[in-house]
Amino acid sequence: MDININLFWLSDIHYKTFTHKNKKIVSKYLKSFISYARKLSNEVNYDYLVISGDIANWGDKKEYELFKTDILEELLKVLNYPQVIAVPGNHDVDQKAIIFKEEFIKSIIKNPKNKNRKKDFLKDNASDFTNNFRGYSEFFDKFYPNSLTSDISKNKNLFGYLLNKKDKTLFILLNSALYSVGKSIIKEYIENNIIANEINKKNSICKARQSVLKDIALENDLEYNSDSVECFRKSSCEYFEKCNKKYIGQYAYDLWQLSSEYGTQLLGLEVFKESFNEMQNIIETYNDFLIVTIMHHPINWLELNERVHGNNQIFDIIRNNTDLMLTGHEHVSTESLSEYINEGQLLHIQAGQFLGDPKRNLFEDFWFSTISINVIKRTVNQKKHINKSEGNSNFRWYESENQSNRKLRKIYSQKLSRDRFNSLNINNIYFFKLINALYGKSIVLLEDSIFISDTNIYINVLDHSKIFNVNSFIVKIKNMVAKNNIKGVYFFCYDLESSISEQYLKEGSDKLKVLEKIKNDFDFKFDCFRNLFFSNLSDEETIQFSELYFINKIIPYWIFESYIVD
Amino acid sequence: MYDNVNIKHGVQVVFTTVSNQKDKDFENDIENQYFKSYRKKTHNENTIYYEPLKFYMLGDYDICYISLINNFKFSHRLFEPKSQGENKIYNTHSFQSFSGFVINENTEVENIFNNSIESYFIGIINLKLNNGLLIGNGLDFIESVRNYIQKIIDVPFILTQTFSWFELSLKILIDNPNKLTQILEELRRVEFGAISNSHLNSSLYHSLLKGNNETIYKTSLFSDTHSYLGFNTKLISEKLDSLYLEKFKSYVLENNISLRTSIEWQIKPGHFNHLKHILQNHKWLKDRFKFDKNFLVLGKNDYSLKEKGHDIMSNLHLIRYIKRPECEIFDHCRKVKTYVYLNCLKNNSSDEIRQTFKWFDHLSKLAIGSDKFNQMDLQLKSLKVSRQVRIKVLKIFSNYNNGIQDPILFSYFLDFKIFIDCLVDLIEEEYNNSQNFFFPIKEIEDKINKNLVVFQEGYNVRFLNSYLFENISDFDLDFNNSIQQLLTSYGIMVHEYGKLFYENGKYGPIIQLNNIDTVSNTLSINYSIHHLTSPEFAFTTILKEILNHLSDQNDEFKTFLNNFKKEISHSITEINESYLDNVFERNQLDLNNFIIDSVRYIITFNFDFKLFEYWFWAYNFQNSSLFNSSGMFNEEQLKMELLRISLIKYYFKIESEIECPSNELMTYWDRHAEKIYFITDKLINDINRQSFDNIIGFVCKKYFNSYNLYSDDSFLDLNEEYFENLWMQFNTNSQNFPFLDSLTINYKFKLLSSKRVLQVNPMHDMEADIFSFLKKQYEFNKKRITTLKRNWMDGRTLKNFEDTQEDILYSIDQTGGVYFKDSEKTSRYFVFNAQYLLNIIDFSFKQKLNFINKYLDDKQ
Repeated sequence: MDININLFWLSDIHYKTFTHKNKKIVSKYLKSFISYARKLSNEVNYDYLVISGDIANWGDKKEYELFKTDILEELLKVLNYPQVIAVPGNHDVDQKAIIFKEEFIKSIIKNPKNKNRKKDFLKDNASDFTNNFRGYSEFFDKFYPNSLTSDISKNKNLFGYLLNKKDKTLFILLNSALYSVGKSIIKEYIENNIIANEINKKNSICKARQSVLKDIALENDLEYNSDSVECFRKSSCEYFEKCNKKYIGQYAYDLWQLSSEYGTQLLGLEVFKESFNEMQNIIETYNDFLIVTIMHHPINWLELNERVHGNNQIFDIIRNNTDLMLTGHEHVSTESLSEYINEGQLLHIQAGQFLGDPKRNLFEDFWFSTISINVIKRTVNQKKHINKSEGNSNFRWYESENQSNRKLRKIYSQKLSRDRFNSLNINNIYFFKLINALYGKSIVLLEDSIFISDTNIYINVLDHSKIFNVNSFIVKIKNMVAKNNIKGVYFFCYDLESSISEQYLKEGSDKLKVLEKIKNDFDFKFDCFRNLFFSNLSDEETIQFSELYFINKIIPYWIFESYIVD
Repeated sequence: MYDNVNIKHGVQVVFTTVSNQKDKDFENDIENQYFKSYRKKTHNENTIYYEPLKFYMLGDYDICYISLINNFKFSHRLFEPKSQGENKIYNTHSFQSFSGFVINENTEVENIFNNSIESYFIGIINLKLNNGLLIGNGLDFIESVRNYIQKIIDVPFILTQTFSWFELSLKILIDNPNKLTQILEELRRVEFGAISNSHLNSSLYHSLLKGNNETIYKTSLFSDTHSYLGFNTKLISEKLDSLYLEKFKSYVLENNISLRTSIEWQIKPGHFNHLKHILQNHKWLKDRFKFDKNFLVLGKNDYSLKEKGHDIMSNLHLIRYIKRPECEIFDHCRKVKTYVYLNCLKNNSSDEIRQTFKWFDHLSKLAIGSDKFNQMDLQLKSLKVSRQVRIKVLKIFSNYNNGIQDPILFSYFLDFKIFIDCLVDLIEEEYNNSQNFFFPIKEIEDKINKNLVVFQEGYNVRFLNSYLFENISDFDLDFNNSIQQLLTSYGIMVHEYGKLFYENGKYGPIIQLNNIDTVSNTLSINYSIHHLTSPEFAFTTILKEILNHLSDQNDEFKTFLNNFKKEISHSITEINESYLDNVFERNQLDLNNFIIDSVRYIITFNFDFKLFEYWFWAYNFQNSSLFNSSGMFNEEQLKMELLRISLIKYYFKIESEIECPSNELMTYWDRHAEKIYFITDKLINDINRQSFDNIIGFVCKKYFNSYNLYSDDSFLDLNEEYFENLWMQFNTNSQNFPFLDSLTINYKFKLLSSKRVLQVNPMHDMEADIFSFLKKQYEFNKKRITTLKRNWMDGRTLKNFEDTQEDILYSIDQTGGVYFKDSEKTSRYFVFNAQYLLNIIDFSFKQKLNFINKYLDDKQ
């Protein structure tokens, strides 16, 4: 049947230490959520738990521990331990860990006209940047590596790919939060430069600026006191956002622009080139796989350098090969619709906020999704799950009516890449595992390429010309069947063993049509063989073998590749 | 069914020409390749079957082969010599063949075939029973006639009930041609009064003559006789001085046997003198002909030579000479045909002049009158269809009129009655439409052309090879053996069955012989010729053939179906499975079939899923068009069939598993079975059962409406097991199927449990027979499908596998029909099937009375 994968998708959890009062409410909220998740899990088997960023609120290690004990452990249990897939969000940057602020400011000031100064700085300080996610990285060490082919752990769990050959799915995980350090940097600059000056010369603060400060303090629920340094500090970022460069000066404005999140995020495609090259190679090799790209920020939050078509080859490859993109960050409402982007070939679905500060948000705003993907038909069904609270106490979860069924529209090539073809050596098929997966049976080697289980024989046909055309093989089968009281003989043939399989490598090839040709060819040979077997039995053998049946299994490469032993 | 006739054997009679009549190879090859090899192939070497009696005939055909058979499949083989090992071209030849059941004493017939025939002649009299007595009385009448014939004949004979246009064929073995004259005269003279009894009061005559028994008693048993005379083959093949011939010559002299004949020679122009020369120089023939008294026969311009006297030896010598290798007659002559004139035995004749029954007065009511004929002509002109189409339609009416008013043939032409009425309706409807709006002429021409094709085909197999065309043997390609009786019997059965579903009674598709895998429609139902004599296959699918086009006929059903199709489409989107999409896109999910299969499961198979499953596969496995040339069932076709049966299993919540019916299918079974079950389960769970229940209920209600209660307590001969089981199944399933519950309430089934009586429509009785027939065969075959194993490289059967099929009656043959391991099984099947075939024939004879009366009454 079709391959269906089910995703349980949370985003923007912002988990932190709540105040005593809030903790109680959050705890009720989570309890009802887990109970609801259990109910969902009874109906659907979830393969993946996807978290598209902002697990923590401040990127603090403790927040992850809390998240684990309060949510994750229980959730994984009720979902029957799906594979966890996560990307970091801006809230997963440990603000306390940022150590390069001064260097960054200097670098910006030094290179006012260099368009690549952020990328260059990232390149020079890559390890420091990744270190900013240390809480996140360490936390996810528990989840990667896993049984699937992946380089995520190699990349400190921040990005990479996850290849599931069995499900024909490739997950691309991107870290769009590398530069989510903006406020911290601007604060640093403000503190070190502007605020110090302002404080020193507070009398000279113009009235207009004071008025703005008052407004900001009011909006931010701060006590306004023009003498209060704290007030300056807390409101300074917002202050800058409301001001223009003529008030704050060119450098500060420049810095503000570079460190604000929208349109300035970098994935580090060139910085982590080696990893992305490997990712590119995987994408091109498994071109017929369904590709799901997950990142915290939607594409338009990325810097032009990376996101504009033609600017970055690797990102173009990722984007053009992605069937489905899942993003968080924008905390969209349940009414928000999925959209086709990239000239209609890529389906982009945005997540809502799963949790936030109860003080600032209503619980009704929080929701999550489950997504079912038919990998073969390339259809996506998103169900949105929302809750209703009665006075922030009794939470009741239900499925929103706003579910959507979408068709993935990416046109993909089915041409088998030479690299993949070369890697598919049928001699390396782990036959025991293949039989177990297909029939749930354990087999025992009887003799060269022939296995037995219960009353069946399984023949690993590595060269059909040595089996279907050889009379001696008939004798062999007869002996084995007679000796072992066999009822069924299974022949396992592999498509790549046929010369017709060369057609897989041709541009524009349709793999199912090629397989059909191979099947007809093998079936014909098999029919002839079976006919030869049964039409030449002696009277005694006829009675002996009258109930014997033969089965011809043709295994295409996309099935047996999951059972190749490296 | 007969009361006291024990059907055990079948008979095939073949008349053949041997165009170059000395063509010995033709005869040898027929005897070896047509008869002997079949005998061997079917393990009949030690039986009396397929070893023909051979006679040299006078008349249109040169040779007659009469063989005892135990499988009607044999009679539908092409009568053609098949030379093995050398490339031979046989001269032009033609044949006519008919077959049927032996209905006289089996031991007498067995004696004939067990011993060498010593009688010098064979007389063959084909007897067309009087339709006025046959229709309504059915087999009771035939049995009485049979008893009468047995009583009056004192020579060895074979009496068969045939499938041809004549019901009976009498073969008498005689030494003197006068015996043929005597019997023929007696049969032509015999009246109904000679056999009349109280069981025979239901005839058409009784109905038309309103019980005027005196007139009825005076009516002839037969409406036509057709006779042949032939020589024992030994008279031709043995030497003139052999003991047998010496005895014959003495017998001729002692008994003063003569035979008045005239011989027609189809002489090549300019060759007359050559022939004369040959005959005048022949030792035995030179003084036999009056060469100065030759006539030119008009028509084909043949010559007729008068014989000198009526010495039967001249006929014998002529045939003997023709068969000799040195015979040169055929260098100058294309054909020699002998006309025989039997002397009437005057002492037996009666001077009484009978009152004749005026068939025309009655049958003309079934014909298209001149008013209607002219109206059709004018309406077709008005419709502006092509002249060619118009003339063809008028010719249909003309041909129909000729047939339906023929006292002998009208019984078969009744098959066309509804067809003709519908054709008239069609033209009238189109004409009326044309008065209100316009439409392309092509549309109406296409509709009419479909009718033309059906009529043409149906007409050929019924009319040709009938008594009007006795010596024509150029028929439809499907046709090797006369089968008018079978065609009309199945036709009536289908009509009667269809009436239970189609309210207006205008349901009368014409039974055709056609490819096995054609879809039937309102105009015709196509049967494989082999299914007509293997009724299990016709029975299995009869409801399908009838209901196939219910959606075309019934708007309510059509609406149901269309709504249901929409629901299914929605379900398919919901289920979101590419395998299901694929099945749907390839039209492998046929909702019409699903509905019909459900109705079949309820009505034909009485909720017996295993029985349904058995016949479902049995039918498919003998349908060669579902296979590949490699001998494997076609994979896509298997998917489709598996889906069909799977839908029934899941819809009716059958717990038992569908079993792979053949090991040869295991590869495809392994590939598809689980997938099919998966999508079927999903589909059945997803569809709105209520809408489907409504459809099934709608069709079933039509059927069960036809069950009516008798007002009194009289008891008809119910097949209790069938009805009890039906009742039980209804009760068991009613909780799951609300529509069944409503049926049980509304259609009085509950009365069965208290042993109250239902008036059983004869069709319901027939239906109970169908169920019992299918069930018994299923049990004979040990409730499992067994396929005939072949070597698919050359198509030959694998004999060694036959030993593994000892316990079953037959295996299913992929090339059509069934296969028997040995003669004993073949005979068992033959005997078993005979009673059901005869039931159908009897049903047809009896039901025709109501059918014809309805039309005669309508017109009065």
